[in-house]
Amino acid sequence: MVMKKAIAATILVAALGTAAAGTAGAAQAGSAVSAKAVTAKAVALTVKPSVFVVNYNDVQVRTALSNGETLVSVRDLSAAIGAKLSAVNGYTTVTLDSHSFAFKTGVKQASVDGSIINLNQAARVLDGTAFVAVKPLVQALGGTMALMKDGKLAINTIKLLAGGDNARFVSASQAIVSVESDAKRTDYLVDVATGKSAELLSSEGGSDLVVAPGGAKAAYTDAEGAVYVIDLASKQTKQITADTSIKTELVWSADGSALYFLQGDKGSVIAKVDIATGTISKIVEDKVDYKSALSVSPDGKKFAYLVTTPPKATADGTDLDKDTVDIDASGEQVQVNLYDTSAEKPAAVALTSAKDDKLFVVSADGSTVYYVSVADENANATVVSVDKDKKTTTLLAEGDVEELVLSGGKLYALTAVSDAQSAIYEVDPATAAKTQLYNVPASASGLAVNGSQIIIALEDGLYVNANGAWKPITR
Amino acid sequence: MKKWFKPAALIALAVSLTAGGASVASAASSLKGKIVINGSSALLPLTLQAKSEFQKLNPKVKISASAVSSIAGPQSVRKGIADIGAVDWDASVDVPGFKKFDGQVANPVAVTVFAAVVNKNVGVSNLTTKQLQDIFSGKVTNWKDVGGSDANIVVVNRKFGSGTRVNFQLKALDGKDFMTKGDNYKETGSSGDMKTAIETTPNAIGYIDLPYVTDKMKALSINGAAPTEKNVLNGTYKVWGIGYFMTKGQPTGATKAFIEYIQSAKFQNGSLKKLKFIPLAAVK
Repeated sequence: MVMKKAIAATILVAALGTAAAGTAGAAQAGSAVSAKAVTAKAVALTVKPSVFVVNYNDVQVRTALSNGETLVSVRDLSAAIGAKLSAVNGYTTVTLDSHSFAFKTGVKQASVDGSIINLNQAARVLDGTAFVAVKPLVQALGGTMALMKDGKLAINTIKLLAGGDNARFVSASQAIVSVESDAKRTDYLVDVATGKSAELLSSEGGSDLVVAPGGAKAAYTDAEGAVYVIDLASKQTKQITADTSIKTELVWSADGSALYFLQGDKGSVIAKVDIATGTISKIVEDKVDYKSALSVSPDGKKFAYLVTTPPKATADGTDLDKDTVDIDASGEQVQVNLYDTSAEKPAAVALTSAKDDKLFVVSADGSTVYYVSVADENANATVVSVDKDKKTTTLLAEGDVEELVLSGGKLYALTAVSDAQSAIYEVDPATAAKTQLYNVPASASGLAVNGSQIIIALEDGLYVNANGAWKPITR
Repeated sequence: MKKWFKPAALIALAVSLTAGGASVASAASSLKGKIVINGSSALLPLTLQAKSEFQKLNPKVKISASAVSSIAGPQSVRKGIADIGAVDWDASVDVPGFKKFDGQVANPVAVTVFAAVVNKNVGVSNLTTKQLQDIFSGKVTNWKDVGGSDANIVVVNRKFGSGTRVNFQLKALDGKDFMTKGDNYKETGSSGDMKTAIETTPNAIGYIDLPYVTDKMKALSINGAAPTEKNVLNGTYKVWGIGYFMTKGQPTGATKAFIEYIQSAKFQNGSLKKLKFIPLAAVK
C-alpha cells in the first residue's frame, strides 16, 4: 500500500503542470488576497496567491495557470529560495549557488548554466512582474519538487549533505551526521527541519563524537587516545587530557562533569576523566578483559557492561605439520555484568548466563539493562531486559529485532517483520507496553531517536520523521 | 523494495509510512553464518572490536574469535577448525622458520607495530639493534652494560610460532637468534602473558605489539626512534609488520563480508587506529 501511494505521488510530480494548478487553486480558495485578471498576448490569465512549501516553510507566492503549466512570479520564488536576480539587455538571470537560469519575456528558450533549453511557453509579464513556468526554473537551480498530501507544492533547494551516516541527535532541531572518506571522517551538524548542514569537525582516526547530556557539547578521542570536548555552538575544541592510553568507549556522566571510559586494548579498566581538571581515575580494575558496551548510572556508582569470554585455544608448536591446534568453545560467552561501587564489597556480578549474542546494550540507570538477544542465526532476535536481581524479561518479540536505542526512558526497536519490510516499535520498559510506530523499508538501519523524532538510514540517505512524514536530510 | 522511497524527487513528500498493522513474519533476509577465527593474540583485540561493530550491522552472523599464536591461525584453517587464521605474517609464502600454507589466501587487515618493552624499574629507554641482539642472544646479561643499573637482565621471549616473535627477530634483531635457556630466561605463550610478565618481573625485557603496551611497562626506542605511528610512517622505526587473515581460498559469504568490514575506511581510520594499529593504506 505504501508503494502504491508513493508511485502515485511520483506520477503526480512528473505531471506537475496539472497538479500545481490544483495547488494554486486550492490556495486561492482560502486566501484573503483577491485574484486579479490580467491580459497577456490576448490570453486572460489569473494571478493567484498560492502557498508553496519552500525549504520546509510555507511561503506565499503569486502563480498563474497557463496551458496546463503553473507559472510563478520569478521575484517571489527567488526571494523565497534566496536566489539573486539580475537584468541585462532584457534578459533576467536568476542565480542560486552555482546554478543560473536566464530568460527573456516572450522567448520560449532559456539559458541554464549557459546551455540553451526550450520552454513549453515563454516567460511573460503579468501584473507588472515576470512569470515563468515553475518546473524548469526550480530544476535549473538544482531544486526538487514534490506534491504533499495536502495538495501543496513542496520545493527544496537546500543542498543536502552527501553520504551522511551515523546520525545522533543533539537536540530537537539538530543531529550530528558523519561522512567517511578514505582518509578522514567529517562530522556535520544537520538541521533536521531543513537538511541544512554545517561542518563541525574533521578528523583522522578520531573516535565518534559522543554528545553530552543537554546537547551543548560532545567528546571524542583522537588517534593517539587524547580526549577532547567540542562546544557544538562555537565549534571550539578543548583538550581534556593528553593521556594516550587506549580508550575504546566514552560515556558522559549525567551532569556532564566527567567522561567514563573503558581503558586498554582489551577494555579491562573502567576509568573516568574529570572534564575540568583532566584528572584520570581508575574505578574498576579487576583484571577482567574484554569489557564493552559500558553504561553508567546517573549517580556514577553503578556500571553495567558486557564481558566477552573468548574460546580457549591451545596449540603445540613442536611439530607444525601435525596441526596440533584446538579450540574449546565450551566456555565462550558474552554476559551482562553489573559493578556497584557503593556495595559493601564491590565486585562484578554477572546478571545473565545464556549464551546468546547480546547487542545494542543500553541502560538508563546502570542497573536494569536492555539488549537485543540473538540466540542463533535461525531464531528471531528479541529485546530483553535483565535487572539487578538477574531477572530477564522479553520485552519485544515482534519480528526479528535489528537495532535498539533508548531515548527518554523508552526503548525504540527496529525490527524486520518481513523480507521486504521492517517496523519501528516503541516499548515502555515500565509497563512492557509496545506500540508499532512505523513501517519502513527492510533496508532501514541506523535508528536514532529523540522523543518523537526518529532518524533512519535508507540506501539513499538519512530520513527524519516529521509529523508522520519522512523527509531526507542527507542524500 | 526501497524503490518506493526514491530520494530527491520526493523531497518533503508527505506520503507517510504506514502506521501499525504489519503482520509479524519470519526473519528478514540478511547475512547469516558463523565465522570461527583463531591465531594471533596480537590481533585478537582488533578482531573482537570488529566483531562487535560488524554484528550490529549483521546480527545473524555469529563470530567466535580466539587466540593462541600466529602459527595456530593458518594451522586452524588447514585443519578445518577455523574459517580465518589470524597471523602476523603472510603465511601464503615461505618465511624464515615457517613454510607457506598451500591453498591459503592472505587477506591483509592491519599494520602492527612491535615494541621492545621493559619493566618500569629499568632505567634504560633506548637500545641499538646491536644491544638488542646481544641481550636477546644472552651475550649481555646485565643492564649496566647497556647504560642501566647493575642488575641482571631477565629476558622474556615468546614461544616458537608467535608472529610477534617472527617480526621482532626479523626486524629488531636483524634475523639474529634468540637465546633459548638460562636462569634469567623465560618464554610466554601469548601477548597477554608477555604483558603480565613484563609488568610484574623486575629487570625484565621482552617485546609486544603496541596495543598491549600499558602504563605499567616502558616501551623502548630502538636506534633512537620511539615505537610510534609517526616514526613508522617516516621510516625511522622499522619494527612493524602486516597482520593477515588467512582463508582457505578466496573468502566467501559472511567471512568475506567480515574481512571487507575490517578493511573498510571506516574501520581502518576509526577503531583500528584507536587500538593503536596503523591503517593498511598508510604504509602502501
